[in-house]
Amino acid sequence: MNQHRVNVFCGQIKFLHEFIDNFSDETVKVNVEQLNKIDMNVTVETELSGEETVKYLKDLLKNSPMGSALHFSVKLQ
Amino acid sequence: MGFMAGFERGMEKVLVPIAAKLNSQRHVVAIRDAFILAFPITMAGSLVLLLNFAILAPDGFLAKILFLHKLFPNLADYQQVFTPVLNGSTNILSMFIVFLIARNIAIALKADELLSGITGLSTFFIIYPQYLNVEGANYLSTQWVGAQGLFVAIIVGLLVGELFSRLSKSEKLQVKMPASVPPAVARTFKVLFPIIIITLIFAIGNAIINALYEDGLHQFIYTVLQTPLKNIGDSVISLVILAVVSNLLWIFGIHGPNTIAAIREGMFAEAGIENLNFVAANGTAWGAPYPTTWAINDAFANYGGSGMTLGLLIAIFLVSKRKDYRDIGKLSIAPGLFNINEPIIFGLPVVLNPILIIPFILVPAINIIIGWTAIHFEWIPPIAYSVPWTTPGPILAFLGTGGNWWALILGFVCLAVSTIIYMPFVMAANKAAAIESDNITTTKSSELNA
Repeated sequence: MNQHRVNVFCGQIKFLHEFIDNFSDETVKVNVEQLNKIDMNVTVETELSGEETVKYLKDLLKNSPMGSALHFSVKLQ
Repeated sequence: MGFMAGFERGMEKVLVPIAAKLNSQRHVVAIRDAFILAFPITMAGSLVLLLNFAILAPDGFLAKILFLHKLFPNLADYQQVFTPVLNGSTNILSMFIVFLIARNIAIALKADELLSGITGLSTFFIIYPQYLNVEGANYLSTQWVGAQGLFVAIIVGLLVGELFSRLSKSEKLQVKMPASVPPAVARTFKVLFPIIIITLIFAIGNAIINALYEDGLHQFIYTVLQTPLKNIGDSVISLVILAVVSNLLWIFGIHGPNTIAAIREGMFAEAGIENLNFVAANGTAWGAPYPTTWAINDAFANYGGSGMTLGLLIAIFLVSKRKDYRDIGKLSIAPGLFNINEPIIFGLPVVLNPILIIPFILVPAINIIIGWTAIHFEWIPPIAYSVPWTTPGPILAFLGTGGNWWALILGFVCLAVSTIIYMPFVMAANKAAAIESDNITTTKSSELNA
C-alpha cells in the first residue's frame, strides 16, 4: 500500500473538503491533514502510483456535488 | 465582516450552488460537451484554411516572407486542393452537434449512446427541408447542415436524446431476442420500437409545422430563436458582460469559462462559422460579416489565461520587490506564454485576492473594448480565423486576422496596457503582504515574550 501526500487548491476549498475528508472507496482512503483558505494537504492511502492518484482524485473531485462547477488543481507534494 | 469577506460568503452561498447546478444540468452539459467534442474538427478546418491562405495565396503573409509567390508563379492554383476541408468540418457542424447532443443525453441517462446519436442524426434529416428536384436529380440544400442549422440540431439532439433514453428503458417496448442471437443484433432490436415511435412523432410534428409555417421548421427556429440570440452576441456590451462574469467566477474559484460555455456557443458559434466561410470564399478577413465575436476576447484579452495574467507576470518582474512573487512569476511564465495560468492563480495567489480582483476583471474588459474599437473602425480586420486558445499572446491576434501586422502590434499594445494596469495593484499587494508578514512576526514575538 502506497501513501501519497497531495495538495488540493481551490477558491472554494470548503466544498471539496466537505466531500473528500475521510473519504474512502475500494481504490483510495483519503484524510485531510491541513485545511487552509484556498488549499488543503491530504494523505492518500492507495495501491495507485503518485500520478495515478492525482488523476483519480481529480476525477473524484470533478464528480463531487459541487466539483463540476469549481476550478481546482491537484498536485503531488 | 469586511466587504470582501461578505462578498466571498455570498458567492459561496448563492453562486457556487447555481454554477454547480448549471454545470451538472444534463442538457447544458450535453450542449457544452458536444461543442467541445466537435472543436478539433472545426479547428482543424480553420487551421488548414489559414495555412492555405498564408502559404498558398500570393499575398499570404508566409508566402511573402518566404518569397513563395516569386518562386512558384502558379501558387494560387494549389489553394483549391485544401478549400474542400471546410465541407467536412464547419459546413456540416450541425450534423456533428445533433449526433453528439443525442449521444451525450443518452450517456447521462445510461441508455444506448451510439444508437441515440444515430437516431438524432436520422431525425435531423426527417425534418430537413425537402429535396430539390432539378432535371430529374434530387438535391439536398446545404443551408441547414452548417452554422444556420445549429439551433435545430441542438433542439432535436436534446429531444431525441431524452425520448430515446426514456422509451428504450420501457420493457414493454423492448424486443427481446433469444440468447442465441448475436449481441449486436439483440442490441438493435431492443431499441427498434423507440426509434419507430421517435421517427413517427417527428415526421407528424414536421408535417404540422410545415402546414402552419410554409418556410419550414428550420427557417422558423432560425428566425425566432437563433437570429435574436446571435444579434445579442453581436455587441461589444455582450462581450464585456460575458468576460466580466467569466473572470469574476474564476477569481472566486468557480470555472467561469465552463459555466458560460453553453450560452457563449449559442451566441457566437454561427457568427464564427460564417466568418470562416467568408474567408474561405474571399481569401481575406476584411469585410467578414460578424466583426464582434468571442474571438476578440481570445485575441486581445486572454494572454496568459483568464484575467490576462501575462500582464500580471510582466508587472511582477517590473515592480515587485518580493522574492516569493518573483519566484512564482518565474515558475508561471512558461505555462503563461501558452495561456495557462494555474501556477500563478493558486501560487500568488490571485484567487480570492481582494487586491488583484480589480485588475483581473478590469483588464480583459478594457482590452476587449480596445480590440473591438480597432475592428469597428477598420484599423484591423475581424478575428475571422479560429486559432487554438493556447497560441501565445499577440500571435493569436496576428493569425486570427489572417496575418495582419497591425493586429500583432495591437496585441502588444493590449499586453502593455494590461501590464500598466496591473503594476499599481502588484505594488499594493506587495505592501499588503509585507504588512501581513510584519503582523505575524509581531504576534509571534509577543507570544514569545509572554
